[in-house]
Amino acid sequence: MRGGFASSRSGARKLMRSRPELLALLAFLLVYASWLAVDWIPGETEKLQILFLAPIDALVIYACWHACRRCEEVPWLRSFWALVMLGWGMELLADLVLGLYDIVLDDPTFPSVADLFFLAFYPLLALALLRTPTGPSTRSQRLQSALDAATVVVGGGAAIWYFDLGHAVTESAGSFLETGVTIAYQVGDLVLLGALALVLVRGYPEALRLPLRSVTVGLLMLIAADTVYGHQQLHGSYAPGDPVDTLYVLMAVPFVLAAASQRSTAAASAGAQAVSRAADGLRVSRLPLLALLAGSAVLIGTQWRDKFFPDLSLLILVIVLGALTVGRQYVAQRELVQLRERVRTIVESVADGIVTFDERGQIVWVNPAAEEAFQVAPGELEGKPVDSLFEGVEWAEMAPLLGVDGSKGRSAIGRRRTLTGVRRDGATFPLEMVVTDAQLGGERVLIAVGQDVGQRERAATALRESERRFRGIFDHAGVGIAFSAFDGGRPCIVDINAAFSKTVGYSLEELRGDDFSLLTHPDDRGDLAEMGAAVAAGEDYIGRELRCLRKDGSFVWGSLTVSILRDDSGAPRFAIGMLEDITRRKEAERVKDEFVSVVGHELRTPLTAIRGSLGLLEGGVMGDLPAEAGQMLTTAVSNTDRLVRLINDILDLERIDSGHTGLELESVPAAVLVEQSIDVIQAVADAAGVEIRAQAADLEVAADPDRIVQTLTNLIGNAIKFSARGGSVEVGVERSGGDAVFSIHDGGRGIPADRLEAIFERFVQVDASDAREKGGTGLGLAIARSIVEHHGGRIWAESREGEGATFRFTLALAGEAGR
Amino acid sequence: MLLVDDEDSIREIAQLSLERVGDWEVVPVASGGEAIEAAATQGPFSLILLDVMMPGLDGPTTMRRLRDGPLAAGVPVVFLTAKLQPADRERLRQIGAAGVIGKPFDPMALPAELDEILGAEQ
Repeated sequence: MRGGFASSRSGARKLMRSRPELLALLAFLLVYASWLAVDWIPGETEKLQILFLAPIDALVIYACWHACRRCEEVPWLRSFWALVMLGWGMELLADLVLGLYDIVLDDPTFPSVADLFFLAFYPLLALALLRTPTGPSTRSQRLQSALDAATVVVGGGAAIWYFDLGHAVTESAGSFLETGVTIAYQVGDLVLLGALALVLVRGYPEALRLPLRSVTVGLLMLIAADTVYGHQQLHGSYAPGDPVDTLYVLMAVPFVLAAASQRSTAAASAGAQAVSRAADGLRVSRLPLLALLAGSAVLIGTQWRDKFFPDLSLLILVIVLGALTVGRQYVAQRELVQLRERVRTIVESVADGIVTFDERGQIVWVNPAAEEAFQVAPGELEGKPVDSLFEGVEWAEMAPLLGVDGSKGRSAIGRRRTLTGVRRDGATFPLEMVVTDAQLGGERVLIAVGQDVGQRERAATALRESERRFRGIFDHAGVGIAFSAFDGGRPCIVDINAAFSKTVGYSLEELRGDDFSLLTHPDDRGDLAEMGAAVAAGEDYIGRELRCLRKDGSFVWGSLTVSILRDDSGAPRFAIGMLEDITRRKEAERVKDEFVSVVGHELRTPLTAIRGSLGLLEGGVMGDLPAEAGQMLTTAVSNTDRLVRLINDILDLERIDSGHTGLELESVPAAVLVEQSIDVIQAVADAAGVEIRAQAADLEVAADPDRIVQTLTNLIGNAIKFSARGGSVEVGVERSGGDAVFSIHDGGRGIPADRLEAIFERFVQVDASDAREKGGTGLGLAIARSIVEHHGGRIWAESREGEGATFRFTLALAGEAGR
Repeated sequence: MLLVDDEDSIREIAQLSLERVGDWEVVPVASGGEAIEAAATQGPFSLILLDVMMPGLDGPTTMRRLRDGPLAAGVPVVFLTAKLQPADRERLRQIGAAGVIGKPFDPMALPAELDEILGAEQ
């Protein structure tokens, strides 16, 4: 109890400290009321009324000053209160002058200097009102506000005309000055009324909402007081002390309350932003209605007391008021139609389905997207139960979750969920939707917005499946794969698969972000740089055989194939590196190469000695030998030569097939290759008595000249071997598409059809006895095929037995190579 | 001429060929080291026939050493080699060989081949 008492007392103290003007007002009202009741001041009661005007004016000024101080940081609010304060300053001056005339000089005059001050009050207040900020508004809204204000001014003007103005203008009995001042008051009232109406209809900042309410009351009191006072003045029925004077005193009270209700700067500045638009439709149209009522009241009054109104002016008044009202409603109506059209267009064209239903679970309205989703005719769903749209959902279950019939649960409101939708034909589809609610025309409406996510779910499932499949390929590939993203021009590892990890001995965590420098053998740094340069130069597939450093410091030989993925501008984005461990192959190759090299050398050394000894003997360097011995030596020499050729051919074939001696392709005229080959073999042809006829088209081929000359020599030599003495071999080159076709034709015995392919195999000859008879190694055609195929060409033989044979091979034309 | 080959039999046959079939005066040695020594003591030579694959100093190294010395600086060098790839021959020519003769060679034709090489050289 004590606590409550203490707190209420401290609350009062706080109020007194923050709003002392309210306490002062309370005190003033008590004194004023007691005087009205008991009349305790000696003197002429009627005139003493004036004594109360100056203090209450001062009180309003004091309250306004405080409001001004509180709103120092909001310029427009500060100037609003400053203007109101200035207006009341004029009022105070006027009342002091009036008091001087009435009480001190005891000589009331009209008009006087006091009226000048009184009249200054109206424009100052109108200015304060009109300077308040408005929110953003459309042309239509501004037009509506202006029409509303005009209607109010005309309606109010009619009332004022009826009471004062009409009489003052048409029948004033006073002096010109008297009439003028009286009219000025009425005009001031109208100006204030218009300003007030305009501010109310066009909207005002939230910070001014409470104060403006009080100001409105105060101004309406003033206008009423002015009208009554004017009426009395005009009819000479006014005398000081009239009850209307009390109205003048009391009209100040709302202004004190208004100023006191002005919130402080911090709150006001927040409110200054939010400009309330009072002008939303219905509320505003009440004002013209009030104006019409005022007009009607005037009409009734005229019938009652047909006094100041000529019939014409009444007619004009009614026409103007009617036109204003109709115009105002027309503008509002047009805006409403546009708004409705806009909303309709939006709602009908959204891709999401919208279904609204009421609290009984009945569908109220459905948009076209929803009708399409459920495959129903337009309007067909309206009035149907909403639960018929879903599978496995009953309204009885839904209702409590939607807060229907006053149930507290609202768990389903605003929550996105996936249900099963049912089309008219019974087919179902996954439906993702969210239900919200709204008050529409005083009734709660539930709004379901959703979409058929079947397509999306199928796509997502397919995507997951595809992702799983590719992930599987990546994870389980036998070849090592490293996926890297380019960062600052270098590929940084993002992901590696198990095979890659196994090959290099590092885990993904250890390699993530590395730019392959961890894995590169110091001697292969150059290769890495070259690959980087190739990527920069625009190559998308790069193959290399290089050494890979493993985590344990050892290295493996790897065949690395890198594919580059680029963005639209051509900059590299990702690199997919495939690494195959070829250490064993490399080792095998090395052993074989070494073997071949050693064998080559080791076989040749004794052969050189044998061949040399035999040659010297056969040549007679050691003295003449018996004829038979000479023949034996000739056989020994020729067979040694054959053995040497055989070894050369075997080593050659080995080298070409292993790809170890890379081809050095250059652009060469085909005719030059043919010429060189004939130069080499001419002596053999001459010895065999065979003529070589050559005809080469003017073609440039991409070839390793040494190797192709070797091939041609082999083939021509072959042809010579199988030609009879006096026969001829024809060598030709022709163009066929992007290729040059070399052909070597002999008129020999030909090749049986079933051997045409086989003769290119190693040690295969047309006749098993050929090797001995013709001195061939059985490897010449195999070498020719190997060389041609390494050039990317094709080699084949054509023959009809008894009509000779033609060997042909193709080489790409220079400039066509690599296409 | 200076003949350098580590294989006795080949050296012997080559010497026979050059002296009997051809008309050369041959100083045969069995290694690069001996060749350098012979060049200093028994030179000057008008031709050096040099085996490529030898233990110790191989053919090309021997040639470089000989060329560095004053006595054999301008003497043409012909290599004897069991490596017959065009690329191998090309490499030898590039380091300054006047000619390359493959093994096995025809002893009856060797002097003529050398004459041809020297003829082309002059």
